[in-house]
Amino acid sequence: MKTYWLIFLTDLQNNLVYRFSFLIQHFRQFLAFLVPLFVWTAVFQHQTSIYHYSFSLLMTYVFVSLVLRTLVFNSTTYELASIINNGYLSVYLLKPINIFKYYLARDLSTKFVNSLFLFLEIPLLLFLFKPPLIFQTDPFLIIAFVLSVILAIGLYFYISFIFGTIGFWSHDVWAPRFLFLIILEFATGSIFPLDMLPSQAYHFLQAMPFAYLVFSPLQIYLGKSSHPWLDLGIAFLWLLFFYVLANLIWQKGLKTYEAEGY
Amino acid sequence: MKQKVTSKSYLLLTYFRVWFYLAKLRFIDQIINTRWGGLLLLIGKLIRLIFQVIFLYLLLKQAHHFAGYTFSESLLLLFLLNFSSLFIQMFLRGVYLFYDRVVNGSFDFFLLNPLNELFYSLFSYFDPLDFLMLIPSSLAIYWAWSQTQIPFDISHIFIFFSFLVLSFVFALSWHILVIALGLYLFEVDNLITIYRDLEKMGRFPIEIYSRTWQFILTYLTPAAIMATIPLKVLLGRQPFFSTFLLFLVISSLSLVLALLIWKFALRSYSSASS
Repeated sequence: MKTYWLIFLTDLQNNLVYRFSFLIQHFRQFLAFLVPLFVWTAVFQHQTSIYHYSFSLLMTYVFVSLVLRTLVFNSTTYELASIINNGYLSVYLLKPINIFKYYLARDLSTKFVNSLFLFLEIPLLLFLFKPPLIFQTDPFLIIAFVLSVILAIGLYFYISFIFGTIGFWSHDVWAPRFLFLIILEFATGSIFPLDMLPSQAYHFLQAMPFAYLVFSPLQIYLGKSSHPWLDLGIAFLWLLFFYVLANLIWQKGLKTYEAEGY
Repeated sequence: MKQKVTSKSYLLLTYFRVWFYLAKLRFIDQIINTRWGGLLLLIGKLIRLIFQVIFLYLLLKQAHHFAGYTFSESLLLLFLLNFSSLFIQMFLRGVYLFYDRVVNGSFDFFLLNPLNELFYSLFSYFDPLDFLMLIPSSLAIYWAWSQTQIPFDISHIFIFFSFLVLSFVFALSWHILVIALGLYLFEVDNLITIYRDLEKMGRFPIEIYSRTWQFILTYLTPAAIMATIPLKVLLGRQPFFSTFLLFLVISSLSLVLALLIWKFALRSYSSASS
């Protein structure tokens, strides 16, 4: 455990080495909030509700989804494919560390730094734009929301890990990840709430694991989910599924690994 | 005088031949060598555009008008931005490699080369996928255009292309500025991503943003001139000549300024990393 704690601390320092890059990355968060803010403000100029969402409900959705994306959509496992391809994976295989725990420790460190920055960003965004937000006060929903975020972080970690293992079978790893990121942005409900879609498309996307990364936690937070504990159960089952799948793929991939390098 | 013109046209021809050769290599690399990867990237770009259309459809289905634009006009605006963005990026992808080139020292080879280092830094990494994407993007423009009241004739197409040229000059200035800052700050990737984020803000009518952001997107970045401004001219909401002249001055000034900053940055480049 101490090993992974040290990896966590080392990565924490690494994250803060390139401070200017880090600041710019967080400025992008600011822009990411700006566009939906103006788009929805323009839409709500002539109406009070859209798809059963009031302006404040939608602004809360946009705002909390930004926070969720910062916490969930960050993973260092994207580099897994390149270290497989350039043979550097051998260095990790020779060390007495578990690759899953190694990347999880690094991911948690990145998420920790991002969370610290959120404490600066959130008040700044609230001060600058004064969006009409809804703050959840039901303690059960808050607990369910926190649990759903933890499950979402785990789920994203294993899905992203699986995409990293593509490196075992292909040198072309960027293209599938690019496609994955595009589908992810839409299917998680990061662009707009999924329940705005026609019911068939909505039910289809709800049956996918991606909905449990952003949309489902947000529905729990907003009190729009009719069965929050059921949603948590499904998210847990998806997490279990991807945990098993990632381990299976990893074991299969290791058998094909030849440490060839470029 | 005649000799000067001949040598200038010869130089331009040389640049074109070098660019064409490099573009051919990129085509072989990205389309022929990595067929599946290229296909997946193309599918990804298409899906992204479809998702944007779905979002716009859902918005306009309930709102009917979006900052004074109908659904087909908003759709045309989205496709115009997509086309302009692809066209500009297709030529200027070299910016994404600039940081690595400075760090590993290969930028020094550009300085030793008889052709301009800016040409190599920005134009040497043509993207054939963007070129291929221009086909569905053009078809999308044609379809959305035909849904509006704007006549699809030579004069209107000329209006769009004249603004496309200005957008290219404006965007080129930004790319030069970013790589000039890259020589100082060793930071290119995040800066160009910020530029791309600002550019993407232009996929919605500029009128939806606050006055400050309207100013930034119109006069400090090419976001507005890539889609909203040409659309307004095409719809007859803004005159062509005065608008064209205004943005000709702005984009030319931005290019001159960017080139000055680049020259200044180049003087302080010490080639320390190579």
